[in-house]
Amino acid sequence: MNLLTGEGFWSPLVWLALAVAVTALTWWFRSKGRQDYKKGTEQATPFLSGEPMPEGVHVGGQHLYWGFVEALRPFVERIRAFHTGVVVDYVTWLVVMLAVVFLVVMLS
Amino acid sequence: MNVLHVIWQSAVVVLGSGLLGLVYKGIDRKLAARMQGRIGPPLRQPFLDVGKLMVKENVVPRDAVPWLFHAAPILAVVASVTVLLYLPLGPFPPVLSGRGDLILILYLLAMPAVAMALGGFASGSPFASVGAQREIVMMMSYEFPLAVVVVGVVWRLATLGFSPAFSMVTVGSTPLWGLVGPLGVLGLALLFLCLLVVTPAELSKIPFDIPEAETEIAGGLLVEYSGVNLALFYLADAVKTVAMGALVVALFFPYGIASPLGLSGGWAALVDQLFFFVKVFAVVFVAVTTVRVAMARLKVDQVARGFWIPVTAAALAGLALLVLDKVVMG
Repeated sequence: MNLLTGEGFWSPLVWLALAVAVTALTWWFRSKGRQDYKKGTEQATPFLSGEPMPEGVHVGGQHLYWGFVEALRPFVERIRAFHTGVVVDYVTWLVVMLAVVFLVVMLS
Repeated sequence: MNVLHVIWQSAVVVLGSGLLGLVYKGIDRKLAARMQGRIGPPLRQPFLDVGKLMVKENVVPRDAVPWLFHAAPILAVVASVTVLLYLPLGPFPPVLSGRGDLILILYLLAMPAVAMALGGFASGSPFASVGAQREIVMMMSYEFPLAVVVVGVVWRLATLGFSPAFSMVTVGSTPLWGLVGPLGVLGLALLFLCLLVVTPAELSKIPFDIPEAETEIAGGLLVEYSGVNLALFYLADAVKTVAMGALVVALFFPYGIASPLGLSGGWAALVDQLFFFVKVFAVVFVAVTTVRVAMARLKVDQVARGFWIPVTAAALAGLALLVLDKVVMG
């Protein structure tokens, strides 16, 4: 039942069984709390510091990695330059990297 | 593995970790208040907070994805609690000893943060979305140095002949400090410092509380949560604090005091168990309480840069010193 990884191991079924048990306990705890609220009122409007929120407006996914990109801009710009959009370039990179991995494996 | 033993031990860990986490929260808040010249809330305040949240309305925002919005806090609690079942808690081996290793612990430790980000995105709120995005960026930043710290310790254990090296029984019963040379001690100290820096980030505490940032984005990914759902996130945070403290103790300070005191049997177990609670609290006090009192919140790009460059460099230097130690000491 254990999956072995040389120096490591884990048993997904045991984790799953206990996760189900803890979920049941959490669900029971949750059921003891109040469940209701005033549906369809101002209460259910997303909080935006009192500013009016237009219907259907969301924060775009294009900002997801903003902090990461801003922090490591020189690295990101360099990596971005490799992304030419030309399939031949991507395949070339794949072949080169596979060759490098192959060499490393052979030499070790 | 005796199923009945696993069941009652798991029940003790589940209930005990919740209580212990809330007690630590109470002490943390009291000490932080004292350091700031305030009286602070009573020690039982976290229990009162949970009790009050249970009787508050459980609001679901208009634009939310309800099933994911409700599932996220449950997932956070389940991940936080189950990680404790793989960690040695005091003189006792992990409840699921032999059923999961350190790699699994790293993944489970990441799950509450993933659950919070999912809940934030599912809230359908701009503040919550910004908070969730920050949580993901922060995870991308601190996971690598955390992995380097774990790999450093485990690799040195493996080179010393301990196997299986990723087992928490091996890690939690083998203090490395006395087994390595001076270079190794220096490397371990560097890795320990890195883990102390990662700890408040893993727990989203100041100066790494950018996903919540109450004064800036009004609670961020938790802004739309209320009532029992918020209580569950609160409990998950309390339990994860214990788990993180227990991980630091297991990796770097798996010592007991019963043997030096000449104790044996039940008294030895009791004393070592109490000493374990003190060690976990010491880790929380140093890495969370004092830091959050002394520092202001960082910006998300400062966190990303800080973890990817100086902290990762320090962790890799620690790992390199352990490698050198292996070359010198054998």
